[in-house]
Amino acid sequence: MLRLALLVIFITVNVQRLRSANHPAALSLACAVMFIWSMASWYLNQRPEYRTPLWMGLDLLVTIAVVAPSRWILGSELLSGSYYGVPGYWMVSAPLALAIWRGPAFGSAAGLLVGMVNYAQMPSSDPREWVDLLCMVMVPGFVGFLANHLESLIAERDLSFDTAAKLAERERLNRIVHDGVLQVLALVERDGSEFGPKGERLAKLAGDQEARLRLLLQDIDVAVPDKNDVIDLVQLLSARESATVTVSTMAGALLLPIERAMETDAAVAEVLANTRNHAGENAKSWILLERDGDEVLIAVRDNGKGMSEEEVVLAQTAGHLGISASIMGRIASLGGTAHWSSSPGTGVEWELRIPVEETAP
Amino acid sequence: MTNTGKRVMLVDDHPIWIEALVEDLGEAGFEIVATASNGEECLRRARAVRPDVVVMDLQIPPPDGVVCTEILTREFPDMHVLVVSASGERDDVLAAVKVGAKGYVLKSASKTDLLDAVIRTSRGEAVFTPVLAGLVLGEYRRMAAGGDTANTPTLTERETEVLRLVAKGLEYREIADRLFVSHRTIQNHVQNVLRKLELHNRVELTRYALEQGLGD
Repeated sequence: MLRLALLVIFITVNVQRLRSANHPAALSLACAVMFIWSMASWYLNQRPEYRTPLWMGLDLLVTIAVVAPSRWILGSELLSGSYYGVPGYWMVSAPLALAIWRGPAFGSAAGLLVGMVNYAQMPSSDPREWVDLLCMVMVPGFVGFLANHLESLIAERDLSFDTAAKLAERERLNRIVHDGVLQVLALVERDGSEFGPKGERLAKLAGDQEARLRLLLQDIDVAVPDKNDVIDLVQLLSARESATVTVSTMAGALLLPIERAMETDAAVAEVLANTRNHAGENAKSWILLERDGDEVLIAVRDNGKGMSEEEVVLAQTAGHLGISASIMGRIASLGGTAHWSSSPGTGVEWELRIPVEETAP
Repeated sequence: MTNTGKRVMLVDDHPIWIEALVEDLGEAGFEIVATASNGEECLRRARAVRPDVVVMDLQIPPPDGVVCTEILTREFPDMHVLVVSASGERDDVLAAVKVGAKGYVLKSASKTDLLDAVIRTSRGEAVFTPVLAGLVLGEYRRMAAGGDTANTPTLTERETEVLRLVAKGLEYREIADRLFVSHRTIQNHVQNVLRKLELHNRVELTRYALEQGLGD
């Protein structure tokens, strides 16, 4: 396109100076050559199979052939007056084409060659001549550099499209495999207990793994929203689900500032640890998360053997910090309250209340 | 085991599950009249054989379990849907219950629990598990917080109490003991809770349709 634009401009220029030229016929011929060659190269450049060194060399030769007789055609008077050679800036097209298809080095070299031929027609100390020469080197170099860069960007983009497609396909396959695994794990969890103590153990293991795998899969779907420094307490607590822990929550999310959510989760973890360590082997836990106005309500119940005030006091004096520091302390530091109740044989029930500021989801 | 006379349809896209359930429910005296591995099959076969109970997995090829539940319970009010699905599909479970599912059991529930749930569903009773109780509690609280109290159903104090105890893993029997009421009363409470929610959902849908000019 550039070539065609330059062609129009400099054919116009040449028509104007046709009368004052030394050899008007030769100038017309040169214009015709420029016209034909422009059309030809425009046509050829659309077809990658013609972007060969042969055609590009020819492009360069034609350009030089039009530049070289400038002095003879135009005469030194006209040439020094306008300092444009016969093709004017049209001569930059061939070096540009080289720069685009063969890189900045080729482009600059060709530009230098054509520029030198042009300069030799009318050597002068006019700084504009020097700037022209410099442009003949710099512009193809710069364009070549841009083209290279663009090309590598496109290649990179294609590669990343390719990678993304592959990853998506792998994820799809993963889902199918994982889903199958989940089904089998759930089945083992369900039926395993019928095969005696060993089966029960397997069932429990399968249950734990099922819960974990499911959480992992959910994590893939929902990235932790850390943009506003909030996190979903529902997700956080759901991660505590296992064969012995059931987590009940509202649907959707309950967004809390990360630190508050983490502290809350840590307190719940402590309650669960307490159950694991003291409630007996087959004790199960249930967590219930509710939102009551501007309070978050978490109930944690187990069906273990229960605990008494005396035990708690004893443990405290023996240096165990569990209940007082880890649970009550954490909740108190969040401005909330933690109560527990228990009677022997019916397990322990905790109720944690934490005030929340409105964090709109 | 003796025949219960109840006709069951199983909907799940995992053959191993269908197989296991066919065996278990068959042993327990249920007649398995159809199975389906996607929503389209589910609707077609359910319309053809009219089962008493549909055991529904929510994650099936489209239309999904929630949509199927909605369509079937609307077309056949006597057809009871029990959602048997994996954990971690809370939003879907709540959606299914709102459009008429009678209950929800985890896939990993024990065989006895599952059979019990199917039996209760076939009688038209609600089957509440702790997770479902938590979801329903949360939904009522959400509605209450949303204002517009004239139209939103609310829980009575006793209903809230019962739901919370279910969510904390207590059996109906244990809850009845704690609250000094009968097992039957507890059953009525949870039934009511679900009915109100479902009714409200229908009313909302109708109102939405009217507002959108689709009512006539």
